[in-house]
Amino acid sequence: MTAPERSDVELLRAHADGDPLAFEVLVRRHRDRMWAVALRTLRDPEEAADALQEALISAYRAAGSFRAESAVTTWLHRIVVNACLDRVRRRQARPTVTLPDEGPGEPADRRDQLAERDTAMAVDAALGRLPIEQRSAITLVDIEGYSVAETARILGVAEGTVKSRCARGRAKLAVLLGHLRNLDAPATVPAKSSAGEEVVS
Amino acid sequence: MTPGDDSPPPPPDGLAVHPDLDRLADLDAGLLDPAAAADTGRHAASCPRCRATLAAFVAVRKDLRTLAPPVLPAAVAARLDETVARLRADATVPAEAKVPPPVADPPPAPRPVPISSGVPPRPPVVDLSETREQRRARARRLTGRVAASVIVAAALVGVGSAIVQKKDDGGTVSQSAAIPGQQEHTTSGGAGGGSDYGPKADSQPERTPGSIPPDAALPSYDGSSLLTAIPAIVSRSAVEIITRAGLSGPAGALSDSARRARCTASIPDTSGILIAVQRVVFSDQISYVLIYADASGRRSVVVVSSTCGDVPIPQVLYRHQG
Repeated sequence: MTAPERSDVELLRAHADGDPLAFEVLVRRHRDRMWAVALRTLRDPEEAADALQEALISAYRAAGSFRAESAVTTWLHRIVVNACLDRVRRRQARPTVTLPDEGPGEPADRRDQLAERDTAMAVDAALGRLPIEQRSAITLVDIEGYSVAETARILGVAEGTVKSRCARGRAKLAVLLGHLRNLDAPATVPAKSSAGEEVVS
Repeated sequence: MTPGDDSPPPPPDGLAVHPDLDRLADLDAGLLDPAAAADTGRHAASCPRCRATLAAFVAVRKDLRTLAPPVLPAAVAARLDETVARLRADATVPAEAKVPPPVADPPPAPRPVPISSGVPPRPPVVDLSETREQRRARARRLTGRVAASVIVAAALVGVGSAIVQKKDDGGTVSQSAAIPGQQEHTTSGGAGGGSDYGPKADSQPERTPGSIPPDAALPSYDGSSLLTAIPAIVSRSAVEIITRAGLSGPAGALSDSARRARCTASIPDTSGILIAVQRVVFSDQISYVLIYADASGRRSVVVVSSTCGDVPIPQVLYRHQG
């Protein structure tokens, strides 16, 4: 006989009430998406794994503070994002490789030769060049599909701040990904919307 | 600011100038107040340049949606299972039965959220960010099995376990929970091994620059053959892919993000973003190939000695700018 599947809220409350298995069920239900957010935010699998583990420990201990004012997933993701942002703030100036500043103005004759995977890499790399506040907002809204309101709750900021971070981030990405290169020719709108398909003059 | 805007055509409506990129981004994001949005929208409707800019934002969103969701690596999933198992065990095992944390060097990380007042305080859990070396040593033995992870959890709380200390060949002290009946893996770090996250190939013969280990799986290149192999290397060892695969993957010890960061920081005159790493034999020497790409897709290649990340300045064996 199979018990009916418990909702997220039921699982979290059961855990807070001492159910030893409820938290594990909840984690297994949502960990893929939490991993995606952590990895996109931190861009380092090892750091993301540490942050996700840290978030789970926090969530495990803080379950009793959940007040059902937001969805459990929003609450969980807020903890994950906070863990990621804490790690970013904590880590010392860490050697990183960066794209050259001249990127968008360079000839890009070979862009249309890149395979689809390279395109995804380019998008991912461009995303990595955004300030973490913009990257977090764009990850949640444009990649993970959260609403602006949910993202505001996850990030703990006003909705207008989320919109502003997304707007600034998208503007940078439009430049980095070359979608604005052909504006010298007003009649020519980017032929294709995908970075990999764009024809660059 | 609109890129390439040397002599813009005059705005075709009442606006004094073309809206700049940020204003159009604000319009796209719904940030403008109704009056400003109406003005800017009216302008954009009759201005090909501004329409193209707005279309670029649509293209960006489309690009972002095409990013495939990253797959949770099995090793990370096992680690999360282990964490939950430990938390559960900590909540049930009497405090006096617990083994104190064997290492205490890094301070505990601040918690993202306060400990709930609604849940009885629980004994501290061994946070793996404080015991990274333990995890890596343990990962060599676990081979990603969740069942084994639970055994480790039990071992850590004192059920038939012992704490041992050892010194690895890199000179760093690590500690690990000994699991009766399990032995250290000593497999080599060539492609196609296990799926663990921790280092297991790092102490293999690559520690001796110039010597070739009995690891015949490593591809061998010279300057000319390497260039033709770049697409294949990128295909099988993109950074995100190899780090999911762990140290048994094609990047060997550079799957470890900290070592990779040390390595890349120590190589002079590199630019672009690192897109692939592979452990290879280059001109009869165990080496790492690092491939960078810039924003326009141009690739550059650097081959460095296998000590990269372990020494302040690695030997650069080969360099090619695409």
